Amino acid sequence: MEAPGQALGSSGYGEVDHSADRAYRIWGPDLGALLSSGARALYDLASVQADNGREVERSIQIDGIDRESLLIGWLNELLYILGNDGVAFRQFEFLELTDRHLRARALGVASRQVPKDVKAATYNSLAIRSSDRGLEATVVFDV
Amino acid sequence: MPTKKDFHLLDECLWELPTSYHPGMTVPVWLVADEGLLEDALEDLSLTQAVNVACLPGLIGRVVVMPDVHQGYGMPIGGVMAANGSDGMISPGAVGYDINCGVRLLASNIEYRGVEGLLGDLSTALYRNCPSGVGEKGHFPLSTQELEKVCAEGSKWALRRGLGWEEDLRRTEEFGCLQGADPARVSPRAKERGRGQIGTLGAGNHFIEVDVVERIFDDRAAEVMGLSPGTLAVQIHCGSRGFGHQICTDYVQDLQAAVGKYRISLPDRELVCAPLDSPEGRAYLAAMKCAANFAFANRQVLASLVRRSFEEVMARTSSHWDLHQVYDITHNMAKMEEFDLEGSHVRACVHRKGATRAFGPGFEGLPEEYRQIGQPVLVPGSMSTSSWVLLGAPRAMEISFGSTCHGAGRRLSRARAKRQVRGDQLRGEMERQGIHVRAGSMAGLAEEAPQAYKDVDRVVDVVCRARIAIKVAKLRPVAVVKG
Repeated sequence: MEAPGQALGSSGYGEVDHSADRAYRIWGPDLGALLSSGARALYDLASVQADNGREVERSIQIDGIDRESLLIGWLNELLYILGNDGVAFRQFEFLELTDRHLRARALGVASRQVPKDVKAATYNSLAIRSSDRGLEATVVFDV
Repeated sequence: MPTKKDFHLLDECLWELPTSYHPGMTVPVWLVADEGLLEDALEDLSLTQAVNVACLPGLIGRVVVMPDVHQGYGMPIGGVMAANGSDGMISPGAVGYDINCGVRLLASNIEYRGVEGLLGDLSTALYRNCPSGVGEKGHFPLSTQELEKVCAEGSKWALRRGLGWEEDLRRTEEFGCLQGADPARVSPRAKERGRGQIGTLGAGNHFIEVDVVERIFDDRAAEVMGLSPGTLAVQIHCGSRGFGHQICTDYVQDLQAAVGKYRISLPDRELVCAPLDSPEGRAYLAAMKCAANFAFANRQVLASLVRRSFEEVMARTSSHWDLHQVYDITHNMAKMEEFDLEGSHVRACVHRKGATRAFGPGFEGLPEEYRQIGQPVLVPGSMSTSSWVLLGAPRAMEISFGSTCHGAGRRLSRARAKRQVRGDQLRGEMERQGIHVRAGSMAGLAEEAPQAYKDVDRVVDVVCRARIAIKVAKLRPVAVVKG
């Protein structure tokens, strides 16, 4: 069952139950929106806000072998930037986006917020599927 | 999903799901459980995950699942698989993100009754001296060069800095260092994450716990280990921190391409793997060993900080405050080990994820004082419940690749636990039970509430009835420190 999360137009995320870790269903009309929803789910899990701190802009590039590995690579990259640099992003512009490659311009903030301990986004039961919401996936995070 | 009728009873507390259950299975699944714990295991996807593991190529014997099993990602937590040493696979998902998450037990001659009034101060000293919580840095920041020495030396790195005793290394699994670690196989990103974290506890289900030895079941083994009824002991539960997590993340991603290259059919991508004898497999193993050695060193440093805390508080009233090490075990690891299996002597890469090595008497990899009795096995319960000290048993070598359980096993999700339990109320209840609590997060405390876990006493009873471990001592908590 999906707990209330956040819907942003036709994109959104919501937490779902998982016995040991934390899982979020994410959705969006297209791959870019799905990736953005995944980022917001990650920040929700880590309990960080992306709107209060020193403004930061970053370029992010990820390569994968398919959409799922692109999504996991993307989320783990954001997780690394959050943990290492304290930076969370609120806005993404995908300059290049295919099923195996992305280059994005990310706008956010660097702050002193201490994120909750999230080890990684995992491939557990991961499949990006088409639905009436566009694209959907359930991502399990190891915490 | 399997159902109860798909299992048949092989022996007391030992069930088999045969390969006929699913066409992809190359080995059966054996579950160590009583009937009730079998039914519990069927309530989530843990046994489906075990079936997925059993579909991997190159396995030998069986996939074994412990009674504290719960759903993980790829391999269930509480799972053991053995990959053929010649043509088997190695899988980061069957080790886990927290490489060498494990437990260290220190024991003392300090009588609880004589120091009960000091436990509040002791808890505060432990919380102050042992960095815990998300983002908390350790007291020993490392250069990259020094971190690479940690990777190569494990606990010995800490010993060279005066942070421990020779006995500590002798009484650590693998003597505190896996040979063959190669820091060149670790990404700069992982090294960056690890440099500030040596000697830190982390958060989540990691803890330092002061216990009273409540009851002894095996007098001889307890005497060898230095455990006496009514005395204090300390458990340290943590792993390889962000360093190990990043190594697992890196290799789970990197090996996705290897699956196609080696034409491996995967039922779950988190079980991504590569042949042991491939560049990718060798690279992961060498990096995993770096993380393993980091975790050994991490627990060694934390043990020295625990000793410092005891000295600060206990030395006021006693000159016999010192803590000696009982043992240090890992429950997330892949190691080359040898077994006699169905008449043949085999060498296998045993992956344990949420399971503990439990070798019986006679194993040369034990310190001399333990060779006659077997390897100590440390089984922490959840907060405010018992923990256990067991011994490895010969039958573990016959049925579970020398493995036994690792803890209580989750039964409630973290989200559900937080909905059912308030952290501040839980802390109050624990303190009314006489357990001092120092925790950085009430939400984190709620996630680790005892009702979120299975009954550890029952889990231990089952592994003992299955004869893959033997009871030595039961511990009762009197202080808990968490991030």
